[in-house]
Amino acid sequence: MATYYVSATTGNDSNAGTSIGAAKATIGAGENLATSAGDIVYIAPGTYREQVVHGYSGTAADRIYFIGDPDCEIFTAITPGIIRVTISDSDNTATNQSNKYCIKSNGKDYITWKNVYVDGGSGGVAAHNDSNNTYGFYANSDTDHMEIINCMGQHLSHACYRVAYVYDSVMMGHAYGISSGYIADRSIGIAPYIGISSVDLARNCVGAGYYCFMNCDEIVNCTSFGGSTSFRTGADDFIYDSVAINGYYAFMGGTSTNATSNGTISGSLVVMSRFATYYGKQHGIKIASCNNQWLNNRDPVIGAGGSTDMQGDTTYWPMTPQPLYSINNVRKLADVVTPTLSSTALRGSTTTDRDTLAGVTDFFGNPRKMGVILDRYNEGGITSSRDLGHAELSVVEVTGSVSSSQPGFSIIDEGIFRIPITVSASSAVTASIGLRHNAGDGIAIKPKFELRYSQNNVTASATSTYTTTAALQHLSGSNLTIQSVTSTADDDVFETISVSGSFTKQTELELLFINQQTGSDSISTFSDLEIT
Amino acid sequence: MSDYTREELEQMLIEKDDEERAAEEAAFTSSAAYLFEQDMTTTIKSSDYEMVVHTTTGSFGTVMARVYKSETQNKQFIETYHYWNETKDGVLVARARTATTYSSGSYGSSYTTPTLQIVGTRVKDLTILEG
Repeated sequence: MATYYVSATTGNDSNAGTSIGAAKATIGAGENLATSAGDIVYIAPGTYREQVVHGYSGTAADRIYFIGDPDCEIFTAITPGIIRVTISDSDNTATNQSNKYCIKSNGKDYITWKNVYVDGGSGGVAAHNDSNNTYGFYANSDTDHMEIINCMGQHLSHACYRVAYVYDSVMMGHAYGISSGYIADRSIGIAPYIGISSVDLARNCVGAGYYCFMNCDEIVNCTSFGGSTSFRTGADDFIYDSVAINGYYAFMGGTSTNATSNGTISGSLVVMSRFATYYGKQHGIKIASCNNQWLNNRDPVIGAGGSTDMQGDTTYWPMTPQPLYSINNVRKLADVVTPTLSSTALRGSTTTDRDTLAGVTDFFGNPRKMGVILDRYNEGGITSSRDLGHAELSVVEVTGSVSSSQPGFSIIDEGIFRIPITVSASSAVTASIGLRHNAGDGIAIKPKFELRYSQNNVTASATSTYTTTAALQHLSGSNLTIQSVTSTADDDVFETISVSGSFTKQTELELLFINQQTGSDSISTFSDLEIT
Repeated sequence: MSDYTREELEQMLIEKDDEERAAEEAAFTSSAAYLFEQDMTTTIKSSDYEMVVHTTTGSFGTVMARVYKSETQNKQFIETYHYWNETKDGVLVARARTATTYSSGSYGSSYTTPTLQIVGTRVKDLTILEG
């Protein structure tokens, strides 16, 4: 296992590439050195106008890594910035592009890219027409097991194609955002045609496009924005715990009553869409502020309205309460990758035989689990506390100053209030809060107070206090948590609890005030917040 | 006036969308480029796959071409790379790959030893974009 270095601004392809001072100038030259499993190529900020075609494979145990260093932790003498790989012309326009790739697996296996930006340059229709397919990250096959982490692609027909594992990435294309592969997790796919397409498992993702999500085998905890069709299943596809917002057809399980060609949509929510459902096996669909429940008198519930050829079993059309979206959270679309809704907006239950895949508690009544969501690939799953996403602010009432012992602010029913904080390099932070759990009718789960890394900060630079192994510097879920303290005081009694951490470099953090109560009339009140 | 209701027209539109999508996917997966690549990938994944790398002899060691072969499949694929020469202060510092051309044959067939393919010379882009 060897380490190599590439720097567009300071390197030279005649260098050995084995030290920062002797870096190569092109990624292609670095790639030609990294021929063995476990090799790492560090890439300095800069513009790389080249196509990287892989010639060597890693193994499942020892991948070959290509790691961008945007914060210049390794290339300390270089100005921080983007590691840009582009197939655009020198003036950043796109001409004569046909079947070009920024990065291509070329049939080679187990290669990981981190912290890299790819693009095809700007251009008009001629540069990006249908016969000029351009790709950001391209794998010849899912079985190449290509992986990308914290990457971005844009101005390409396919920003990300057949990449087996897509984590924490944003992919925008003019045809497809994320297309094919095994898993897309905590990622965003945006494209005028299909945002996220034909992925085996899409979880915690956001999709937007003409079709936001199309033909993914399994979709869990995802959100769509807009689109002619928000979620479109193929035969035997399965969608659950997901939300369609502002779609024309929200959950399209198929285009006919033919059960064998239809997919299943279970325990999910439609908000502000024109037609909430359209054929398919629709189970327990909650409908909020939609124009129509279904098209052409096609009630998806079997037996309802005489539609005995349909396969659904339950829809809900609640008049109250509706989920309300925090304006700041909707603005921060990039942060909205875990879209569970507040429990006050969702009540009910759903049953399908596949719900066991996702745990025993359904989406409607309560969070599935404040813990693990099972992953059928057994690749770690989501080990975090369930992030409540864009609608996490069920009800927050700021009722007064937080300078006195009460009233502070309250979270009514399950919800999280989040405060972002930044600590400087070589600094420590301690936050304390006065916390009171009010007795309610619900299940008595005490509230808690957490300090964690910001989800924006899963790059190597931000998390290097966690591990010194660069290839492992990727945090998610519970790994983000630095300290979590659950209240132990009796109901209606104030308790002061604190969380703290120290950091070797500047770090983005979040303080989370969490009311875990899942029953009704349960309130946690927080006051006397001190951050030192 | 149409004899169709709005709902019926919308349903027809959906079905047309489906047809167009299926046609688009079929066209893509039956294209010559796609089939060539699938064939080449099969060879790369074969158990007796071999790779021959042709590089320049100078300090750059630029990869001129890679040849992928499988005897059991009796196939051979040649990728020839095309480069920009990139200069800094008038001195050649890098070769940036800009295109790849492909050819194929049977396992034992001979091929012309690749030569370095240069499409032109340009100044190395030293831009660093901020995040």
